[in-house]
Amino acid sequence: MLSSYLPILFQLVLAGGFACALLVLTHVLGPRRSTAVKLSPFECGVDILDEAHHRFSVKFYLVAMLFILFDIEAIFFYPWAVIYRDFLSEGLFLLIEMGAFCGVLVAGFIYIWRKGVLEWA
Amino acid sequence: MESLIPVGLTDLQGVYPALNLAVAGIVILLLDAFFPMRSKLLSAWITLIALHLSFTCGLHRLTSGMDETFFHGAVRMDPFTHAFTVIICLASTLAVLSAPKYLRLRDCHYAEYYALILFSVSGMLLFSAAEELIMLFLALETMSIPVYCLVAFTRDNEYSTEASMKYFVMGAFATGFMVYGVALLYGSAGSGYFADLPRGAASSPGLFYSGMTLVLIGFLFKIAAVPFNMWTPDAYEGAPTPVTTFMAEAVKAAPFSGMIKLLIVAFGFSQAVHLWMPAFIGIAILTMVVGNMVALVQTDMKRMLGYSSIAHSGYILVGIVASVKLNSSEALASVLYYLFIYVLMNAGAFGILILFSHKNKDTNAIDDLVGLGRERPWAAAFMGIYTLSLTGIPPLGGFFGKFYIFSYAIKAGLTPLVIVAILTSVMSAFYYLKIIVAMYFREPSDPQHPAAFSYEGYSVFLIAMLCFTAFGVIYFGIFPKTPLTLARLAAASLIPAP
Repeated sequence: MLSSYLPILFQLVLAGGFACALLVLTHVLGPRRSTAVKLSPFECGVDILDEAHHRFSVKFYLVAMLFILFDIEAIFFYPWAVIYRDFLSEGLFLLIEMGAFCGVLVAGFIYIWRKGVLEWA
Repeated sequence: MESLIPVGLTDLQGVYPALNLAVAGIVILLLDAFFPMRSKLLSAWITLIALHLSFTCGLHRLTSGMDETFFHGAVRMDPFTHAFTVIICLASTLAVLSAPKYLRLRDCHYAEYYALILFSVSGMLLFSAAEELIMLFLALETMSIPVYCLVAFTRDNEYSTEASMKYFVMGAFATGFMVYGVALLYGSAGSGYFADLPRGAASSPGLFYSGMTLVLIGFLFKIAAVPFNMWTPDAYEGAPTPVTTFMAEAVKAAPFSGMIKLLIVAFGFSQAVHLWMPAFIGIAILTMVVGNMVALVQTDMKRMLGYSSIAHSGYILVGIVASVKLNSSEALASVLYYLFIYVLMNAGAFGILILFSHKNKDTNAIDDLVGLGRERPWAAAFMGIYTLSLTGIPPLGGFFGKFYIFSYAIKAGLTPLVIVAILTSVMSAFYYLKIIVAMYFREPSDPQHPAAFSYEGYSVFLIAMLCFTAFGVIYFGIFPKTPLTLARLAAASLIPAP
């Protein structure tokens, strides 16, 4: 049964070997002509404007975090919506189940709203 | 077209203890969002009531011997689960009782603390009930994620955030092991139900045994067995003390429940036992030796109790190995009894630390306790009871816990293991007694020192918790009949009498 996984192992070895071979070969074969310009850091070919380490407002992280949370929750709606029609015969069960799911979601939403997370000013 | 997996009201009633806590958690969050109050005692009371309801429900079901499966077999509510419901609810109640004083001193007494505890506990209760791999994994995460947040609860404290980060990274790593193992087990057996897993060992042993190893490694991380223990002392030291209390008891007991169930139901057939038993014996020895040895040199109480909790995991592992080897529910009952007593004495020891914590400084170092016996005789006496019980001095509960486990281990023919266990518990006496020596027999070098023993802030909750644990350690040590009978009832559901 394990033998059916052999191609995957083969592909892994091939991919890893190819990557390693390329790295080694560029080191061995490639000519090295470093100049000051070549060694300096650059942004898309433009001269450096300023430091990359900026401080972001903590609000930014909050928004990012909430986005990911609610985004992932939203993914659960899709499979539900796709199969909903097929199970109409089962009565209201699916609808109630999604209602409970949304209820928890809305509770979380109300919580962050009341806590002032959505006031970005 | 396949039909739906039916979920009805009976299923929801079946997981009532967990559901009740989750709903209470949401209620606390919403209440706090709409009616923010300065005192968070309302949230504390709601939490205590919810925990109490789950506790009594668990106790009632345990005595009535309810044994049913719900959610299409994914959740099984058997006496074993009820027993853990009782232990975990008790442990969390103790952690909640110790919280208000400490959090008020640190200016972070938020309602979220209680909500997070409730969410975590609801995961734990499902953890001991899970009979299916996905359910097990979901419950594990529901349990762990709130704890990561709780460790960082004193947000301005850099130790706290550092501990949380470490704990999170290590925990996520362990979870990775577990998920991989779950995938392999499912791949070999074609089903996630524990009872179906042995089928996988017959059809594709390679997948099955690697999956088993990975899942068990995930569990050993959670119970902090050596060599998977490195997160424990840091996380225990950095976390706010009430959270450490919660971690050292509830977060410790819950993975044991899941692991015991998995070991007996899914990996209980002889080929698998032959594989994991020697490994577990080795890990138990390592855990006891390393945990106790490193605890010897600690000067910080929280770190020391962290290592001692590692060592106690080792004793419990001895009990698990013995009960599987003997295939006896009596031996498993001794493990449950030990966990119950461990919860009481550990909570008490942390409670004393909280009692003397101050606005700017915790009283954590062993040297901080010098002279406590003269200044605060009652607190010192309580601390003495907890430490003597942790050492295993009769007639306290800790002694009988160890005694039952070791005697069953000898019956199972694990004499070398028991010799190591007894030697290491003698070693542990050294560092536990160090606390007693500091409290009673050492003169404070600094005459101003006794000021450290003033009570800053006052909490009836904390006093109640200390009295209850001290009483419990003595009472259930001298009269172990009630908890032991209940534990036997619980263990018999997992290992039926031959």
